[in-house]
Amino acid sequence: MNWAISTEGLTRRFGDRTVVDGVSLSVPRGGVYGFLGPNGAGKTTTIRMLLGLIRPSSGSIQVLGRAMPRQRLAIARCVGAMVETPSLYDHLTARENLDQPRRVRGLPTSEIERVLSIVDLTGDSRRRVGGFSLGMRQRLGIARALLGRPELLILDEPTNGLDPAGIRDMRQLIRDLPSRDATSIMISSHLLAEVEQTASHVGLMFQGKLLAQSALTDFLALAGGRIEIGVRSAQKARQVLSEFSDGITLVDAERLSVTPHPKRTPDAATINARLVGAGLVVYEITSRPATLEDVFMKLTTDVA
Amino acid sequence: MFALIGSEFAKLKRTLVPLVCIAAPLCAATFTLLFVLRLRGGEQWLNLLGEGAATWAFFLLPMSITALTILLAQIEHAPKMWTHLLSLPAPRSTIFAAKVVVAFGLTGVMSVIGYALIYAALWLGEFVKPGVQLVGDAQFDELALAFALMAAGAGLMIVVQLWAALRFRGFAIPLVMGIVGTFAALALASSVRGVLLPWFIPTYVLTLQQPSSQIAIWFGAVGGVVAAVAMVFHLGRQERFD
Repeated sequence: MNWAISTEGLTRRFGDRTVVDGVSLSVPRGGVYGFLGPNGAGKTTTIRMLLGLIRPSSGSIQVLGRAMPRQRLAIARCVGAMVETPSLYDHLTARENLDQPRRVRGLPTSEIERVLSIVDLTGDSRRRVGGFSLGMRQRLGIARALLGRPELLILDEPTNGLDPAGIRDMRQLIRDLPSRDATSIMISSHLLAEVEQTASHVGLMFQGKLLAQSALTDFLALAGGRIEIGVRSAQKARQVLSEFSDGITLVDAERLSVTPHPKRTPDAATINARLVGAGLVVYEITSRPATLEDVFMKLTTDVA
Repeated sequence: MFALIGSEFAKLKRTLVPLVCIAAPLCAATFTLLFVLRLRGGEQWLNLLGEGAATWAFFLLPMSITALTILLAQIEHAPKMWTHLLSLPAPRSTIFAAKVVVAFGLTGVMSVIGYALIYAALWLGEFVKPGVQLVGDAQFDELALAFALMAAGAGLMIVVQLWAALRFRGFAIPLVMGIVGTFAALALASSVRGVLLPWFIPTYVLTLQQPSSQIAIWFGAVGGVVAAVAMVFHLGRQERFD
């Protein structure tokens, strides 16, 4: 497969502390890759290595088929990035802030208009950035990353500090970009629900290691969903259903959550029949698909 | 590289840098004017120009270079700014080299303004103070050469100050260096060991007829180039975590 980013055993140590430990990323071209993990998991350090800002202690990096850091300049021409909160010159206008990277990238001035319109900042382009809200700054940071139609966009926590409307706009923008400009996107975030709505592929970092990565659907299958049951006596229901799953938890006196076993757990109708047959009053059975949060909790709990 | 230099100059818009570039030479001119206003009669151009040049070399040039280099560096010390700059498709060394070029350029601009304003101050003083008369040769070429050599001799000082300002996020270290260097240079006046102090080197222009002074100016200029190469190499290889 043709990867936008591919790393092999990527490791970074600071003194005797290993912050990124043998990470082998595979970010597909043309998709949105959600790079998940709690704060301090090593996501930003990994991104810094992908951008050539810091050198790996060991391991290799290929970005768009080129080796980092040996071909950093060639890679940087094809990559747009925003690492955490965007750094902007407050004393300059939005347009002037974009003009500096535009010059360095050798792009026409019309490129500024294009990216400003994408992030809906055309009307504010002549205002000083010092007076911008956090959301506007974030959008301007994205606009700067979009200069030159990069083949790969790396966004580290792009929704940080955005209000709900800003998050929705950012989500839409991220969804649109792969089809609009054939851009591959890597988003690092600790907001699982947000990534779940935008990503086609997901990788999970935890304590410096990449615990899992795959297409989102395969990733969600790792947790397998849940069956939630509302019943008059949850305690008794648990005993009745114990042969079907090892993962039955009491939510409260009248609610259970069953983690289905791939072979032993029957469908909802069979569960209902078994409970009713045992004389229990069932008033709800809901099959809930797994969320990223479920997978995250499952994988990280296993490691911890 | 030219694009980077252009963008470095563009960044200075609405900063204090243009103000420093005007204010420092204006101070030198003001001191010169005040000196003229104290005169009662004729005075040689040479002496008055010497006063202006000495004010510039001993005090205003090092202090304004301290201020300029701090301002140039502080623009980039905002959170994550280095991350943005160093991920641009430009060799890291050129990003720092562009800063050096801008610092040298601004020193050149200040020197030109200083040269012009000192003459303006002398003519203004002669005009407003009855009885004062400037006599002798106006020394246009000599003062131009002196200002050019002071700027060249300040090369090492510029790079040392810029290096510290770029290396350290806070401005306290380069500021203290600049103040201590400037006053140490005043203390070292007429000492042969002054050549070891970058802030003192431009003052050798005032005694340029001595061979040792010419060597000192060369040392400042060539040392500036060598230090700039070392600075670009050092900062270009440094990993930054802002």
